[in-house]
Amino acid sequence: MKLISSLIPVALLFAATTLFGDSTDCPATAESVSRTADSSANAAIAAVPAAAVPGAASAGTASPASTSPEARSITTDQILERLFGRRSDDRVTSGTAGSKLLDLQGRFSMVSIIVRKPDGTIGHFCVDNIDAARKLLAGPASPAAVPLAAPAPLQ
Amino acid sequence: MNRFPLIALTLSLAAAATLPSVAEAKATITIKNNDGPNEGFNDTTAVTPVGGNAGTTLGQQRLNVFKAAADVWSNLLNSNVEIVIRANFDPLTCSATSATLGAAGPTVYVAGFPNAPLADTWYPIALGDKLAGQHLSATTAESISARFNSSIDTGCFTGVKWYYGLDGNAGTNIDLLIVLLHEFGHGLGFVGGTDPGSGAFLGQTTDANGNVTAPGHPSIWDSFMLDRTSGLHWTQMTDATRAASSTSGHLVWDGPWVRSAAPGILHSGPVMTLDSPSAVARQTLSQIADFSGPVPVSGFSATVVVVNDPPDASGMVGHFGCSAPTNSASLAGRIALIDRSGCNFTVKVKNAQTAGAVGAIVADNIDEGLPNTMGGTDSTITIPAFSVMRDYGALLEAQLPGSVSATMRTVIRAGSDDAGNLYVFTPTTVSQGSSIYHFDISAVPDLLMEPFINSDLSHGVDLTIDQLKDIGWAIGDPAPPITGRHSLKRH
Repeated sequence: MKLISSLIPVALLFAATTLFGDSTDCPATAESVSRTADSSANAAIAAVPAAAVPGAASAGTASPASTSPEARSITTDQILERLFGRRSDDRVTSGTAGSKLLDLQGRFSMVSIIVRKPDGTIGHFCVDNIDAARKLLAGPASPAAVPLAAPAPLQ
Repeated sequence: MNRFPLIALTLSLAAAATLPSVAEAKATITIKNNDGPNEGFNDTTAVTPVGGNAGTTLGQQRLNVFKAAADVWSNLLNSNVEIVIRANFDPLTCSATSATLGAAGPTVYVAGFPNAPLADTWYPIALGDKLAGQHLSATTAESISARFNSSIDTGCFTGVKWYYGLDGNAGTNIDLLIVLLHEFGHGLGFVGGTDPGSGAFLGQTTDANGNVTAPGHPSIWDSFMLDRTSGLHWTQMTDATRAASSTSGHLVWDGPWVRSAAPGILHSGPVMTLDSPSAVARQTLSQIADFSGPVPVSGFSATVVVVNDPPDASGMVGHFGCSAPTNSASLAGRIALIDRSGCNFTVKVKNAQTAGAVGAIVADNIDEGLPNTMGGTDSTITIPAFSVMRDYGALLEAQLPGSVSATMRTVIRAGSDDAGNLYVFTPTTVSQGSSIYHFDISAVPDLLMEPFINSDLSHGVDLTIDQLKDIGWAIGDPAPPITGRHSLKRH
């Protein structure tokens, strides 16, 4: 079991790399992206096994799949990198009617995230960079240290 | 020079030149189900219809909400070119304490197309297609991409799931329709391509040494980003000055549609302004406490002094204000700055008031966006009490013990400046996320396109539609201004 657990991160990294791709998956030009190819790429992402995603389980099941912190870290990062992408992957090509196109290669400018705050309320953020997303998904920053003499926080 | 008149003139001329002989039709927005069999939108898990969503499978309900969000926008926008949203519902990151909900945005930016109002300027392709009257990409008609997290339905984010009803009764669950209205807003153009961190325009390229080899182009968004300090729009600034303005607190949206509509949307609200030192002067974002004393419209200004607690056993001096401050003499007639935590908010503010403070500011101790309203009851509290985000509290404390002056006041239209322009969100650090491409969180009531999607939003689009009109969605409209904005409600 320990061996299997230790292999999960490696397997996830491999799966994520395969499914999410790197620069080799990006077409040479935006205009070479066919709708079929694009759909296939997305279908591949959609086909990530639920158990390979932190907290994910088959629809209708009550409890999320158990995932090691290492696996979660890798998978979360891969997902975020796929969502935010890299500006360096942007390609400028020619469109119709003399236009110029810049294809974002599937990257998003904004990603919506929810977190449970220390007080139990839920925060809902729309963030524009991967560092902020990582920080939020890692959990809220620790509250400032309370002096020893202070009573327990009430609010 | 304020460049707005030039932009307005340009857009007006372009509008006149490109006004279709036949009025544009209501936009057709199509959701393209991009999921595979038995997952996402095709999940066949049986469910009970909920809140006006008649779907009887999980997949159907998801798709119905996507279509409902598309219909809201479709009823507000005109275009003769179909807008296709490539949509996926996939397992994404999710744990008991945090989760990725999803994202949507333009697939492509376009420039140099027929009828483009501004040359060498990037437009989101849905808008570019509308203005050009044709699909500008030869390879795809998908102008917006959307990917949302199906794992939320498993309960992985403990106790919270997607709400697929269309009636706004999400309770403690997440109203997917609101999230989609927000994210589709980004896809339609409530976003630009310029990097707020570096200030670089979209399409800028560099060589191996980091030298710029092609400067890129501004986005249409940048034409309405006015830096109130310099009086310049982002299109007139350098990379460095754009980056600096991203965290300045002085960026506003000065589009005419938004300015015109804002008075009918925005209400009065509390604002604290950090007046000096001038290097960090900015409007700060605040929440007024439930128990606050009245805040005069005319406001009042005072020096800010942090409260000092009695030393603890280790000699450490905190600033929590849970007991009588040791620096009462210096607090008299000043605004007390207090750190959150340690005791009830009412205790902190009352202690400051007793020490002679004329106002109290409680700085949050976690990064959670705008803090929750300070609750509690104490009828003996008569001074104004605001809470501010953690980074603003840190900004204030960093200036001390130097002389810091602040103003607490009620503004008639919270979220806009005195000229009626809308503040955009500019946290003190870009790394906090959400910079620039959202309205500021000081707006009252909460707006759909604020970075923190608030539970008190209804299914309206408030000023978002006016922002889209500003960037070009109004061109060719048969009868502006729009109707059907859907008024906001607060619960």
